Amino acid sequence: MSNALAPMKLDDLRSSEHGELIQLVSFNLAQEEYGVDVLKVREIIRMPSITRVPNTPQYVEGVINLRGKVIPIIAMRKRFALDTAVHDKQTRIMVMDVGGELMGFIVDAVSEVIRISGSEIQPSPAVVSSGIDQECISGVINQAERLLVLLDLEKIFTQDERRLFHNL
Amino acid sequence: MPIDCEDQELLEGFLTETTELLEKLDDDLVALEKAPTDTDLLNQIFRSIHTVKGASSFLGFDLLVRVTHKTEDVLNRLRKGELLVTPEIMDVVLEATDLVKTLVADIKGGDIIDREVDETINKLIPLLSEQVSAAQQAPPATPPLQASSTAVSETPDPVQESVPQPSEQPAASLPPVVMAPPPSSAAKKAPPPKPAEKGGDDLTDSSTVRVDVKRLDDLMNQVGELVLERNRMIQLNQDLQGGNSDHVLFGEEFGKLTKRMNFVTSELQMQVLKMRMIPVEKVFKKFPRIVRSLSRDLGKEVDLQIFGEETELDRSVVDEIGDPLIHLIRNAMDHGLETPDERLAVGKPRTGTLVLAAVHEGNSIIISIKDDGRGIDTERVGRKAIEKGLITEEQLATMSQREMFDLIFLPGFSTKDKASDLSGRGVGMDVVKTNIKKLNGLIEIKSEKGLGSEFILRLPLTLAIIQSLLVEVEGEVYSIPLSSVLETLRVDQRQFHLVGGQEVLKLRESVLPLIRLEQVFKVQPNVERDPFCYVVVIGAADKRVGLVVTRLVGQQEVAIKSLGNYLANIPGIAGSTILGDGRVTLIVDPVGMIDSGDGATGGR
Repeated sequence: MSNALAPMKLDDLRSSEHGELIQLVSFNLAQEEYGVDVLKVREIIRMPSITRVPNTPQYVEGVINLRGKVIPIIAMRKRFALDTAVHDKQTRIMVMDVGGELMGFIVDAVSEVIRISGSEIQPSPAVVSSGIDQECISGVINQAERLLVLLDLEKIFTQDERRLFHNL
Repeated sequence: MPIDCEDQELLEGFLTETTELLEKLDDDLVALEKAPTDTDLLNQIFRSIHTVKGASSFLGFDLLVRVTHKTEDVLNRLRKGELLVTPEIMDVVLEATDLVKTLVADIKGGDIIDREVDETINKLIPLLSEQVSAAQQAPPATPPLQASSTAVSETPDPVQESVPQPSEQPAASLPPVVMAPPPSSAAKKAPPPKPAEKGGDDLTDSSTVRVDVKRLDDLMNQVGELVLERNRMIQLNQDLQGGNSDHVLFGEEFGKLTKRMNFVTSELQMQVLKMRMIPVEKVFKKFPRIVRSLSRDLGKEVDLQIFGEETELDRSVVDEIGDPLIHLIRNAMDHGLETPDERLAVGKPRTGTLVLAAVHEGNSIIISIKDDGRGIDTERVGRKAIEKGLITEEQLATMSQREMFDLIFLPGFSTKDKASDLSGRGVGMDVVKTNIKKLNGLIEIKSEKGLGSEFILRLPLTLAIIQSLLVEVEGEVYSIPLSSVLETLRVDQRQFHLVGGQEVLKLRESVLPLIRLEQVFKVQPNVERDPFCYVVVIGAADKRVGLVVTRLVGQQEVAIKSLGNYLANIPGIAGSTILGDGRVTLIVDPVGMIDSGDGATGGR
């Protein structure tokens, strides 16, 4: 299913950008490098104090106060079932626009903004690294010395999870 | 057919104005029926329709023009005294108004549907022929324009000449037409030939606000002050950084600044809150119309009295209470009030009374719907609940009267054997309860068999800012809405008892079920345990539950922040707020807590 879907998403991405340059914010998560569309990223902040929210899925770290707005924080490592790591100086929260709402995602480190051309994006291989759902991977970028996994955060929650959130 | 209106602004202006006029029209029409000789009122109604007609013909809405034109003609004849106001005519006029509303709603929706208007127009046309008026004039005609007792204090001025009044004349300059119905029941005697259709589409628009200019000016003043204080703060900071000020002086100045800031922001808060407030009249004014058509449908005579419609409350609350109130009114009309014959038989006046009243009480608003009908028959309610399998015999046997009243709120409950247009599906009261709960409100029922019932809704004034009690649960701070806190106690945990697996506390003569917040919220417990803890007694509807917390932190006014779509509907959590130190604190949902407490006790 993911194979069938991947090329389609790719087309979307390409056509929307006319095969032109795409800017991505790249970040690290358990030794892997990922990228998200820069237009989706609102800001990148250091770890503030997080208020735990009871009775939520484990990967919901809690909520924070972002200049007077309360936004939920998702621990990416937990979401993708990676080993949990201690938060250090490099740990960042990427505040992103997901389906019209702001959400923060905890990542190990944010590295840079890179430009790639749409044609560099390749469909993701059928089996990707540990536990990351195929759904939210919209492609991989294979540059000379590195491999970047392109994420579509709109799809980070599966249908079931969305329903869960609404019916909790 | 999409609307090809070049000037969007013009169209929007038309919609706003028309919507307002139509809203008022309903009200006026019902008032007119009660005071058929009130020429001022009649003129006002005529002008409203005339304005709508003019504007719609200008913008080329043909269907609208056709309907309003005929309606206007009928009204004109009424105005000239060629026709008399009768319930039958009012039915047709109201039907036409409803049609106009539907048409306007279509335009608002951006798509004109080719609706069937001829049927309504055909009902209007006979009223325009001479015979009707002749037939009407035949009975010893009380000069229709002799404005005697019913006319409002003003001297009957001769506006009833056929000269159309300029439609621009602001409605405010007219003498106040009071809604409180005069005791005339003459208007409702005729049996309903064809009941007026209900409602019409709801045209109310809550996306824009009209604010009193004075309030806006006040607000600007407050903001000005706030800016001054901010400048002062920047100055203080600069002085401190630049070493021009020692810490003692800074502390003193900063203390003063804090006080002033506190003052200015609370004022500002009040002002903004006031802007969000609208009179409950916005909801109430629909009701005379609804009651009228219901009373005709049901063949009951009702005198609707409305009090306190000027009571203000938050927009968010006003938007939500419409539905529950309609259900309660229907309920009172259908189940509560008896038919005229039944009433006479038990020695009550023919006409039933329905009182709708709103009043402020502290930080809440109380709306009551009271009828002098037959009251709630608890025996019958109990029997029906068993029949429908909602409760068991044993449960019924242990129920107090209050609990029996509460049965009517159960989904699926109805005393009717057959569902009618009006009621019987067992949905209405459930809707009432859910909506009121959503607003953090309480419902109380008072009823006496044979004498009538009263439904009392207690609602918070606003949903945006609340007083809350901050509590600590093993290191985490939670906020409990103060409106539902009844009392707080410091107790030794060894006083807790276990009843069927449920922890309870003997509080004076009653037994209070306890909920440990650290268990509900799965907080990591601290190692050292203090035998003493605090119990916060919360209540919603008539149920009470004690929340066990580690420590009370204090009372604070907090602004409610939504948790967003993703975290909406977490059990036991109503929202969040930001404390003075910038941390986010979750607001406990008292109603949810009490319900879950129910589940805990009921399940075991």
